[in-house]
Amino acid sequence: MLPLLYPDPETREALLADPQSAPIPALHRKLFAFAEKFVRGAWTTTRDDLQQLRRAGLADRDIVQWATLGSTQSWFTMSADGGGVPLEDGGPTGASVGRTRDAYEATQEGLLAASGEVSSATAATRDDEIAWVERDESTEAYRETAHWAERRYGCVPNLLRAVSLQPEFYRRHRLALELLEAPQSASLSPLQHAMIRVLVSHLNRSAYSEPTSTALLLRVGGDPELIDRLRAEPLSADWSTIDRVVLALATRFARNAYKVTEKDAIALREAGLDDEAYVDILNTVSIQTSLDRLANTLGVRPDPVPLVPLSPAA
Amino acid sequence: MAHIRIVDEAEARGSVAEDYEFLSGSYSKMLGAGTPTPQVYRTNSLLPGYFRFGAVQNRVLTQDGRHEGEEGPVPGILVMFAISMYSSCFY
Repeated sequence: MLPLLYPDPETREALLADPQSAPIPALHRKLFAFAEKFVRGAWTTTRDDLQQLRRAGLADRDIVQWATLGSTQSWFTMSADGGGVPLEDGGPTGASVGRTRDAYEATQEGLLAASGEVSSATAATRDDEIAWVERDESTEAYRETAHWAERRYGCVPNLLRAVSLQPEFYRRHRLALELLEAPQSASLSPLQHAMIRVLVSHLNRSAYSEPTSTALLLRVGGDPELIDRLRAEPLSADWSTIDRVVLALATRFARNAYKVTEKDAIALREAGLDDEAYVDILNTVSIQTSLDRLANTLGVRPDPVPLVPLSPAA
Repeated sequence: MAHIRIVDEAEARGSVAEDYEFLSGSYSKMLGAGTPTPQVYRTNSLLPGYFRFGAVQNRVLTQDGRHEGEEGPVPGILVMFAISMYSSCFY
């Protein structure tokens, strides 16, 4: 896809070496820097990062579009790497960029180590605001979505309010929220599914999704001690064999999906789980991560109540 | 080879079959007649809800397969490429 944007081979080569020194428009360099933060540490995004994009000429509608597209693409990249997807025959839709995985791996490991256990920057969102971007709640798509959310959760999620400048994405966000409420296969228990959500919220430093993840876990039989264990020692040898494999795979998807190999799928099968469980874990992690990055990037405040369905038939 | 079992077009039933048909049609509109559903969607074909999620994302991104959207100051290709690059995703 890169030649469509930068037809000149030398520009592409420079871009792959270092986007910040490549001969591309200044706005594009900012967007590449924003992408790096989005993928590797969305929780470190600040109000000032968005202000810089505005100074570069973007309207809030463009910023919300950027974050929404980034959220969508996050799911695609994790699905591709986590599922071991081969390149397309003839490459019409692939994006082989020519750099070695080792180079990226070293960079990402360094960033992850440097990030430590910092809190989400969304703590800086004021009490009187939903997020760091403007909103437009006058559209028919917003009103219809708000009605759906009120019936389902008893409130309109702040995340849905924050992206109101891109209402065409509502059907995607709604389906994402629904899919995250429970496992989609009988192979993964509701408790295991909720454990994955708590773990991933924590790994993503998502102040937005943690209250919902923990509420769902308590609803399906978990307790505060389990929540503490998931945050403190997700890779401990003390978990049961199945839980240990599930949590290790979820961590791998969340942190380094590009490191996943067929051995990970084999380990899951040897623990007694099947490919349906694998797909369930992969999507729980990738959908949750796509929403966490969106919320962290736009500075979305936690919801007034956790997003737990009011009734199973809601 | 993907790491997991795939339900292909011949096996697909119900919503998975519908989504295969939509996705192939959407990509055919962009890349030429007969383009099959890309691999990245297929990994989720075991569980219809997630397969539908991939199809819904394509619907949103392509205006239900019409590919008529206007490009704003943020090039969609740049966002997709940049996210892939920093995710180390070579697909």
